[in-house]
Amino acid sequence: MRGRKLITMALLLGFWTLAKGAPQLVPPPLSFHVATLKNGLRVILHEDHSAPVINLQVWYHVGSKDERPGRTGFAHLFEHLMFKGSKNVGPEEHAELIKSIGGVDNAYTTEDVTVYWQTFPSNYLEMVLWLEADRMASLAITEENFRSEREVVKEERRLRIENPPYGRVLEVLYANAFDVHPYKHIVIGSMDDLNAATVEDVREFFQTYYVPENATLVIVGDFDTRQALAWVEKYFGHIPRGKRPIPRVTVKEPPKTRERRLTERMNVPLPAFVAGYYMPEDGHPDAYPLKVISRLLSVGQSSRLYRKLVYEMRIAAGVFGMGNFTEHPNLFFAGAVLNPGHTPEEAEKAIVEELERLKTEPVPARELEKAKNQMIAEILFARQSNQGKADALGRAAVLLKDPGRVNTEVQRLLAVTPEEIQRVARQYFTETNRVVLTILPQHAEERRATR
Amino acid sequence: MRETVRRNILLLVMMSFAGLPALGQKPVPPSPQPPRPFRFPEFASRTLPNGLHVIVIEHREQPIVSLRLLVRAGAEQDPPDRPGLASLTAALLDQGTKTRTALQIAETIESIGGQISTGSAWHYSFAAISVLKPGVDTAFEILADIVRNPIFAEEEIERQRQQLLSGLRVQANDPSYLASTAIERVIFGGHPYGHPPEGTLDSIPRLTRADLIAFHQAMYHPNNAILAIAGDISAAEAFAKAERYFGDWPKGEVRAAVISSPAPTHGRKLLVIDKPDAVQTEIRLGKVGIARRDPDYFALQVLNAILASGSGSRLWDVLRRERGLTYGVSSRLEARQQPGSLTVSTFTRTEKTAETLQLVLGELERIAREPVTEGELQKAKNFLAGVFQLRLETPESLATIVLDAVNYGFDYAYLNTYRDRILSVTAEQVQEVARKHYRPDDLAIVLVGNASAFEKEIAQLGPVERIPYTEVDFTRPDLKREKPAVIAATPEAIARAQGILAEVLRALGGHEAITGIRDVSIFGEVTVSTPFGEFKGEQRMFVQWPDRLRTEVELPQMRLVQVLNGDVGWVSTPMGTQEVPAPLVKELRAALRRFFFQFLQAEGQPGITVSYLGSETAEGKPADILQYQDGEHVFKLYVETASRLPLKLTYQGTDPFSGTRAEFEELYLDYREVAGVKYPFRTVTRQGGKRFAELVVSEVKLNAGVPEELFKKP
Repeated sequence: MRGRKLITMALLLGFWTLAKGAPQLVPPPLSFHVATLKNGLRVILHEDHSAPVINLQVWYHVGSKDERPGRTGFAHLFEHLMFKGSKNVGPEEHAELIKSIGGVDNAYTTEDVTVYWQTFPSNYLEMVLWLEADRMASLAITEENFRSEREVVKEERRLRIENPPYGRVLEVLYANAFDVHPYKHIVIGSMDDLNAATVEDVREFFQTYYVPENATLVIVGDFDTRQALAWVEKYFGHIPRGKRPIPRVTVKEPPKTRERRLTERMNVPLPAFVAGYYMPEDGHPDAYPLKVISRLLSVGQSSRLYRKLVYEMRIAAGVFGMGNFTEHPNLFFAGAVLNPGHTPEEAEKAIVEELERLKTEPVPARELEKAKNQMIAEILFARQSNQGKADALGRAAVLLKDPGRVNTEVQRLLAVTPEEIQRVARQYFTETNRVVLTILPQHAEERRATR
Repeated sequence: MRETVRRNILLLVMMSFAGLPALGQKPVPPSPQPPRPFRFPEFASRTLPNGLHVIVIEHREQPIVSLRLLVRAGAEQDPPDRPGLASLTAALLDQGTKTRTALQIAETIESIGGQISTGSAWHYSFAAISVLKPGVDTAFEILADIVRNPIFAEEEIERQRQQLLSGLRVQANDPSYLASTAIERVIFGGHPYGHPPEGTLDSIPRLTRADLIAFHQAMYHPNNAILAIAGDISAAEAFAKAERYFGDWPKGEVRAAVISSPAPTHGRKLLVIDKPDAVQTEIRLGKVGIARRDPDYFALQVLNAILASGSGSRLWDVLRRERGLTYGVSSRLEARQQPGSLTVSTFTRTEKTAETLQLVLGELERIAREPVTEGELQKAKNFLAGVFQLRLETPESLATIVLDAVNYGFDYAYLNTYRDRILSVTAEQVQEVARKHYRPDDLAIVLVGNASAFEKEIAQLGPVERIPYTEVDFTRPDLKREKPAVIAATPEAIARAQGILAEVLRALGGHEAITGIRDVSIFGEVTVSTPFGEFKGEQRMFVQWPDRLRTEVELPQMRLVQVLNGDVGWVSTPMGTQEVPAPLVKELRAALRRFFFQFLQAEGQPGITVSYLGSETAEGKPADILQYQDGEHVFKLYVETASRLPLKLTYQGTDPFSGTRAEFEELYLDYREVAGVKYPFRTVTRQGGKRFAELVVSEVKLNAGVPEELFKKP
């Protein structure tokens, strides 16, 4: 344990707290250890022996917003390449080994992070650490498997964006919402940029971002912390730091002074309406009331937008009203997919009315309590699995910059008041602060005729 | 002595290694620690006097309790012409009971942070509620109420129907959905397993409240149900609550259809669903597989894992790792009460369709031909055994596994030995089931994509059938929307039709009066009542002979204008004015031919044949049927035998929302006289048997002149 900072977080939150006179169940704190190796690798561990299973995740603090111009989609393409072999592990051998021990593994890329995870029988922890360390230390990419994996990623883009109805909505919205901040392109990137990527880009990206000081290792499940840390030191300790400082996105999207509106025709059967309101980053004090607003608006059949547009007016087939909370300021979406015979204008009017109501009327205590109960329940439901716990720890550590926030976030959410909700609604849900996208179906005949 | 020898060899080996340079030796991953012994979590089981089977799984890690009630009333029980009945019935469970409205139910559960869901599978329907521990009594109370006392209110049925239809409309355009749904139809044909369990665009409008109530009464009885309680609760407390909330649910007679075994797949069937705007082709291959209790179940699971279960499986390696042809490939074993399906699913960019399909077929051939290697066998078995264990982590997924097993008649010992059964599968068994179940010649294949781009290349694989995606009807075993049967017109049938038409003209005011009409203006109020709510508007329609038509609809929010002027057409909406593309002009021309006074003047017009088809009862009245044929445009006119007035007209048109073909009917009601001519002042349009639009006419003008500029594009 030499040279390592070992902190034991022992939080003293009460299991049961009293809120507004009614007993409210609060998630018990998640206890965890944080250690940082000499090379800067941070390790977060939570022991849970209820099942002989471990979830292990490696969070790299790099996502699509870190891509340089002309290389959109690269962070995600790179994620695929991390399965194509390293010094001592053959192409796809990592995933094969996990599978062969009865485990499951995968990875995902967001605007801000790239996360590699696996769930496996706990007696294989040492092997999994060895595997993850090998691909952090080295990458063995050939021109051939780079090209073939790029085709796989292009298929993924066709699958998610180009082929399904509504697949392109977010791409169009973001392209029009942001002018300078890299959130203007979606994670999967453009076909042209994917085609332009080279093996040289891969090496440079690896040397810049896949360095121990830019990574966080999260281990949750059936293991002994002391033993686990010894193995982490053994397999990761020798990996050198990067040679240069990690570049960070500093550009800020300037505040908007007037509303942006656009209409797109797509191969969809029903029209849709989406408004994106500019809002602050995750962890910002205003993010909490905005998260409560998400609940009030669109989670469950008794939520406001569902009740009004789907249930009472019956103009919408589905509604949404939630924020995309990320490391930098992003958008809060409010929108609907219309039922046949109804127009996007009707949806806009009804949605704006609901957003206005948030500004003028304080949320009734009962409704606020419902939203908070749902958020507590959501946290508890997620904590049933090791993966849920590891997700929460990783997010707090990397995106909120402090693993301790895994336990304090809930307090912050529970403290949201009706006045705060009114204040943030007034501040963010304004006409000048939004981009509006109306989606109209191309007629089926027209679709065929224009091909 | 043997001991010594062995030690010596070992020593030799070690020495030789020691002498070699460390370079070039690939380090191997560290070995595992000894595993913790496996034992399936215990559960308690009891049957209440009313026959309800109760299972309790204690799982105390988080303060959560989950209830899941399963009724043996799945999609397999849908009547052939009512796909979606079990699913819609289940969807309505939490949408109102005798004492609680839909919103009260949602509000009650959501207020305590609970989650409620209902739904159906092939063999059962379910209702489930998960709550934080303090809400456990509320969960029991609501669950018992929604399963026992659903009210099936018309209004709520319409709401659910609307949601379902909107969803199906989106899916009718989704290649992945089309492929997955079509393959089951091709595999099972008219067998109950062939229909889409969620229903179809054609079947959902037909389901009535009476259907739902009858289904619930026939199936939802305690003696046909299993209740699982999992989470932070003791068995004693859980049984006591089950007794308290479900004990007085009276036993009932279950009236379920017996599901026969589907016919095995013979020969190769290749169906292409053409979607010209697709950039990828969705590929499905499948056949009838095995029942859940079939002894081949475990070997087939292993076979499937060897074929397609991510990295290191054969199809993944061949398609994704080596060639970058796809993002995903999977192989699925759907074992049900009767043999379900075995399917392989993947997708690729359009130009690689044939190559990908060939590669999949090649692998299916190979796995039946050669034994699998010991290495892949071991990996596949370990993977399946491990994944089974991972699924025991949360109480909900544990409860799902237990319920599934109990539902198929398995007990604790079966679950406790499940891993061992997987691990004892041999390479011979895998090859045997591969030979038995994966003959590439006996296979159904479905491709959804831009057919013209790959059709030639796949022709060598067998006879190909092609259906445009707009013509797919999942209600029908052959997937093909019923084409109006065009009956060859005999001279007798034509003569008889002429006679009937002459009588119709007489009944309406005389031959001269009708054939002398050159323009018509109609004013009225239209009500469009999709299953999605109603809206009303003013409608004005102008027709000028021979080929001009203008329809204006004034809705509260907008004004819609649609004009046909000879060979061109345009539409005007709040979004602007647009020229109508050629195929749509054809539809507008067809609509004009179906206009009341136009079809009455059909006699003697070139290209139109009217023939008598027969007589039958329509709308409760005896009627004669005339078939109008004008090129590919065909419609039928029903003439009431007694009054000789047109009763209704039926035709195939385009569903304005999904773009798919649909059956339409136009009913003529409330005949009144205008300038000596009778005209129906009320017209009801039905789509798929349901009222779609209604026009109530306030004024009709004949030969009063229609201003030219009405037909000019602004």
